[in-house]
Amino acid sequence: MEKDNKLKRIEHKTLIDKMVKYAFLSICVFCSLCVVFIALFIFIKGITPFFKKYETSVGLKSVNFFKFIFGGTWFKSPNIYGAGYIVINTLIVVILSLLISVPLSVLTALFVVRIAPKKLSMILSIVIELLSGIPSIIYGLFGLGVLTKFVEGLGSIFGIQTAGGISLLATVLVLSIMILPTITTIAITSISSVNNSLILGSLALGASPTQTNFKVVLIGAKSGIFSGIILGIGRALGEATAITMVCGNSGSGISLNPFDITRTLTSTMLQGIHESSGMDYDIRFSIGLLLIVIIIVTNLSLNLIKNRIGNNDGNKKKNKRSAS
Amino acid sequence: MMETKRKIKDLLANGSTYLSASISLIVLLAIILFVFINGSKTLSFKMLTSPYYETPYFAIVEANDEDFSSIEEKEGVYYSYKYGIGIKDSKDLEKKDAVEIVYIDEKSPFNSAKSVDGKTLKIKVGQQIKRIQVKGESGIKVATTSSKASGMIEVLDSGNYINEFYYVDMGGGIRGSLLATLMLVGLTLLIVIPIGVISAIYLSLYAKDNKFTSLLRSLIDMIGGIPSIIFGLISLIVFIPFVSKISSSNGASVLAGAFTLSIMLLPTVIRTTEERINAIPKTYKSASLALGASLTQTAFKVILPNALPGILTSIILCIGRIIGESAALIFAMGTAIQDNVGILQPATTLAVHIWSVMTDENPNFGLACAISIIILVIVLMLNILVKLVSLKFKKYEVKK
Amino acid sequence: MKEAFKINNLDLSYGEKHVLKNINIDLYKNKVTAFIGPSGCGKSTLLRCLNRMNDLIDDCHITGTILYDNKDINQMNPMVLRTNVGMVFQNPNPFPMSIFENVAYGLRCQGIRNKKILHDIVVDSLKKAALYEEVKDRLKDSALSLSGGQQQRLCIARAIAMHPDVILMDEPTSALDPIATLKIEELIDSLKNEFTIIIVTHNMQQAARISDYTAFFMLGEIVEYSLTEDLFKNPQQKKTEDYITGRFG
Repeated sequence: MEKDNKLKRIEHKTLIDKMVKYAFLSICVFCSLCVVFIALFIFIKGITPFFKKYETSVGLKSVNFFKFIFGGTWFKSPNIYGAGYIVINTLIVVILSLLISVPLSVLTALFVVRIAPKKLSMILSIVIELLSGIPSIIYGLFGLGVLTKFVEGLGSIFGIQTAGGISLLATVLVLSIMILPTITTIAITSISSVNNSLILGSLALGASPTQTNFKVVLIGAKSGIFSGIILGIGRALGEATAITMVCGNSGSGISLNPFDITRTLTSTMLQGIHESSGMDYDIRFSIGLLLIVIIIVTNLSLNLIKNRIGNNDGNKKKNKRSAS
Repeated sequence: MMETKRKIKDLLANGSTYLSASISLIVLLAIILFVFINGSKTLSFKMLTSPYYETPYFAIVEANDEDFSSIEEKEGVYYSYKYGIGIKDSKDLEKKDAVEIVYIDEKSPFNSAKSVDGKTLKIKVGQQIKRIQVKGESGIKVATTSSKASGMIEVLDSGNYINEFYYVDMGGGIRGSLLATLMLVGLTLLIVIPIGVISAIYLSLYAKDNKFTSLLRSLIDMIGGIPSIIFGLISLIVFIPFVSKISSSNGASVLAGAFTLSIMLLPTVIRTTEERINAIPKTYKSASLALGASLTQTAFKVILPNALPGILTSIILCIGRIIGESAALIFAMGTAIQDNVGILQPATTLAVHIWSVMTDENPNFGLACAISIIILVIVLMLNILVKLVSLKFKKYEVKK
Repeated sequence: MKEAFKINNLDLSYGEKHVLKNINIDLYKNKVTAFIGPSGCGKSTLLRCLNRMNDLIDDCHITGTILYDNKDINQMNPMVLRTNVGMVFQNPNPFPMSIFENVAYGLRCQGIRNKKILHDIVVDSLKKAALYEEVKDRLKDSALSLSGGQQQRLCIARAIAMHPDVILMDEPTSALDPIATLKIEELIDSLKNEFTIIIVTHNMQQAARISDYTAFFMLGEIVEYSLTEDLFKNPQQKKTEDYITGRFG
């Protein structure tokens, strides 16, 4: 009798176990499908403006896709939007920021791991951690309150009139400060995991500690540093509020002059759109779609490059093994 | 010769690392200095509790027979000997000219001011005068903020009866945004923590180690690569319409913001919790199963209690992200600053409050920096808290 | 003599690795059976088959049959099997709960909520595990505060509390000092009247001291299986002799 009861209880438990398992599985599947839904929604909404007919002052029109992709003016006429120059401006901003922050981050990481005395390196690690914890809105505020003033002053030295310092240069400076902690954190991890025997080997060959740091340690950590850069690019492409506060949202043209205002995809989504319905509202999803496409393309291609670097390392190892 | 050349090269290379490292430090110090210098004057406890918009009051004041000519006067302040108050020129929130009350004598008739319908009004130092209308022997005289403090005193002293004293509570507080931030944090955690923890338990305990599971994992990780502004767009397409459908709200709302951030924070919660669960000794699971417990019993009785530090860490990380988030919330919750907030109404968080006052025609650096101080202090405390939690959980590991 | 387990033609592999090859063995009721052999010979794996703990490993493939009480264990609900076949692991692994809760854990999972019954079974199990006298004043203390040997006896008490027929022990003393080991061995001796005990051990002297039957494993096969006395005094196989005289292992 008692045994029957026990069996019944265990059967009951088994049933509950199964039910809980499937409930948990469905929640987990839901979570992972979120990203698919997000992509789908943005895609559908993003291509709508090119197919749907909107009522405009020039009659029922949809947005011209070709002019959207290659256009050099954001808002030309009621149904002609151009985002081509915005893409190029975005890429210019990101590349210039990388040019500033990559060397700074890598050298900082090298300093923290290999050169600084223990206490100083601890302080710097905390500094970097704090920097990465500061919300982007505060970076934007700092940009507007300090960096634009700096750019304005710099401009006046060269006799260049700026829009109160709001400019490509200010945008690049804000962005490079923002991605600095991202890249540095990853670089610190990868530099500290460089095999110690490599370092000893280099020192034993008579290289100075500095030569070792720059020639052996950095090369050894390059794959990790590269992932840090990929992460930094991701953050730079997606950053919105801070950039919008200092970029000025230029209406047309590629901005190459550092004292000129500029416009990125994210700043267009945040500020360039004023309507709450209709074509001017829907077009921001097209910009969002464009941003996602650019992020995916850069990520894929950078990862390909990274894998190639990794493969080279692998080949070298293999060669070494066969040689020995 | 070669040796000196090498030394110089080394010195330069080393120097470059010193320089780079010092830049991070300088930037952090510059941000902190900038925020504190500009914000510390505005920051006060009153700011936290007062509304953002000014509240108007209308009072009636009758002069008594006291003489206030013996008041100790300060420079720049204009005094009325008839009414016993001191006022000075100042600025309002929008940086326009305003007249501020800086002194009210103990015996001043302003202490017994009445509203139009006879209720007592408490007029306080710091409030601003918008308009006065005084009835005197020479008829009715009017002064507004454009008359400046000196003109206002002249009008005040011209008669014994002020039949309209229009003054305002300054506003400029962040009560609404503070409440909205707390509300958003609470709601978001309520949604994301259960879902995230359950997913983490599924992935680390129930799921078989196969391709399907690693697909689930990588899809969840991909959410982390989506920029927050895209989540803002998603809130426009999905969450704002959804919230409007299930409730009376139309348009942006705190609830829509909570849904948006929940999706955004999912990978953080799942990763952090899963990492902690994986750190729990595997033998606990086998011991529990060997005693005839079901997987579900093992999950709730053994794994979950031991995963609590991980859940706590993910809660702290989420709070930090929610407080700092701006781009997604600008879409999901709107940018209009509110004094009275509700779950189904639009509102701004502290970060979006900064965005709103800075994208205004007259950017208010003082207020923005004061809010930034609050945010920075919170972020710093959360950072320390995460460290403490991990320290405590390390101790527990050693004991084991 | 009754058999607790009958194992026929058992083959087991982890992925590509063939761990157990054609195992045929009968394990007897109310006896202590020891599995000995060099590390990696599959003795622990076979033990884990007996209460289907290998189910937890994803790429584990098993063929052949294991009969428990003349029932195929693969047809049984694993939870039912595991309440009848308890297990003690190599490293003491009490849960981070109180001593009392550790012993009551399995009972609670069976849905027993009556405090009186729980308390009685816990005390009884602790007594049988020769731990009660040492911990009776601090049943509410964390189990992690006990010493290694005490923790292992707690794990045995935890298994006894389920009133199993069989207790599997996977090198239960390998993480303990000699004195704690001695106590566990005495405990096993006192338990064998009530339970069928199958013990995996690295230590040949231990097998000789405590077991009634011994199986010697090598490279996933059973080389020899007989009464412990026979196996140690007069091994039939050359390999067994080499191993017990210490020529390898």
